[in-house]
Amino acid sequence: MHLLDYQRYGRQMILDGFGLPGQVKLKQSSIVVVGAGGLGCPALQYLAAAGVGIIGIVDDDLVELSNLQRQILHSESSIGIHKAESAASSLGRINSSIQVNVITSRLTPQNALEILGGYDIILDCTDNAPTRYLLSDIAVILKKPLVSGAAQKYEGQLAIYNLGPDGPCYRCLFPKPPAPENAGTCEETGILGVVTGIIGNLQALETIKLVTGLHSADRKPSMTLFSALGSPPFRYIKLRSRKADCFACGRKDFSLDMIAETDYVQVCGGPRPNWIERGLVDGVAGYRATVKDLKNVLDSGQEIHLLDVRPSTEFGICRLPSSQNVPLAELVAKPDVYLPKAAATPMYIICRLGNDSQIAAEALRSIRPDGRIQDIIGGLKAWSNTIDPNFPIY
Amino acid sequence: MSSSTITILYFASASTATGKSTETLSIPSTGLPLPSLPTLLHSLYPNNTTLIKVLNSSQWSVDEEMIDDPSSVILRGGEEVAVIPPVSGG
Repeated sequence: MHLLDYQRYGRQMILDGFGLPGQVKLKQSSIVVVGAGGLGCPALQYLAAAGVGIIGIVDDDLVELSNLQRQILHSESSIGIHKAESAASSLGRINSSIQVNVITSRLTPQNALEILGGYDIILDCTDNAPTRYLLSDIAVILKKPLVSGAAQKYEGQLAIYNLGPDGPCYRCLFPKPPAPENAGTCEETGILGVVTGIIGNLQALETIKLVTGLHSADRKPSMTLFSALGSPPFRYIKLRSRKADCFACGRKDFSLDMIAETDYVQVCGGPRPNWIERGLVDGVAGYRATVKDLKNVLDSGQEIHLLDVRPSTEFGICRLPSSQNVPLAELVAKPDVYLPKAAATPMYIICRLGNDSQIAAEALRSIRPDGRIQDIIGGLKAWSNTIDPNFPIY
Repeated sequence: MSSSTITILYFASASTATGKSTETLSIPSTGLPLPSLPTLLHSLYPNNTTLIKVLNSSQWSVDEEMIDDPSSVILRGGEEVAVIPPVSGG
């Protein structure tokens, strides 16, 4: 160790159980973090600061403005560049003595072994189910622990998979992937930045414990459930051991060829719906109107009903002045209540992107097939893009 | 009578689907096999197709222990049962 390292790492080296051997183990360790987003950033930050010798960062995404609320290694000046590059340069500022490997290609069944094979521990900081199953399978093949974090809304999960001789893998625990429409992204369901921060920090902590030997070997595998609004906020669920009939960790003949032949996106129910594209489809003639049509009818002063079917919280962020908020679930439960009294009054339905509005319009038309009910193609996003650039996009 | 109720904890998408993080449910005094719990929940949340899908990919924990084989578990009352869906966000 360099002389200055004693100063840099002294605060942790004087800890009982850590000491000089703990620091040397960290320096000799190599950790790969897949995903340099909300979970990856805080995990990387602490691993680098603690003195992990070699850190790999795998991410093919570019930094966007909407990332900065939680992805704390990126900054306004890194918008548009690769997250892996941006994170690496932040780590370089924190600790220039460590080696950081930047991988800007997307992890695939074909390249995963080559990218991950050289590292001691893998951190799952990804944001999608197909990559989570791929990482789990690769970790089984490589016989390496997978420190897995996940977060959405106000909640998070943490577990170490594939730990020791009989720790279960992710697939073992969740053999059925979530339906793509229920595997909500941060963009769709929302996420409080500090929640990913807490889970990402816990991933760094568990990794440091594994490397330094502070993780007690006889501890049963467990899953930490964090619920920021819960009382208590932390719960611990004991995990069962490896299942003999698990497709991955339960069978002896599980091989890299099987991974290479797997279409993980299909396994997880197909591609994630592109809600922006779906919201822009033309649909049945006469059933959908453009934002220009809506603008014209609003300008004409004609009497119309304009329903906004977003959740009330989103309606509270921004709305069209004459719109009335009826969240989709309420409308679908009792569509008859929200029909205009006079069938001749035109009704327009709008939402964020133009998907929920189609469902709402369909529900209303099922009760009044001859009504003048149309929904708005592309929703409020299209309104902002085409009619009023000052209308917020969130 | 705490012996004929269970506490359910909903996490992540299960919480989104029910709009709750926890609730207390009455179960028959003769006990409720864990595999029958989804049916009970469907009756409490009729037409909630999201909840059906979520339950389908979720795991159960009973008193903070992940259940390996739900058919071996009969709830007697007083248990804390959690619905744990896989979370993929990050």
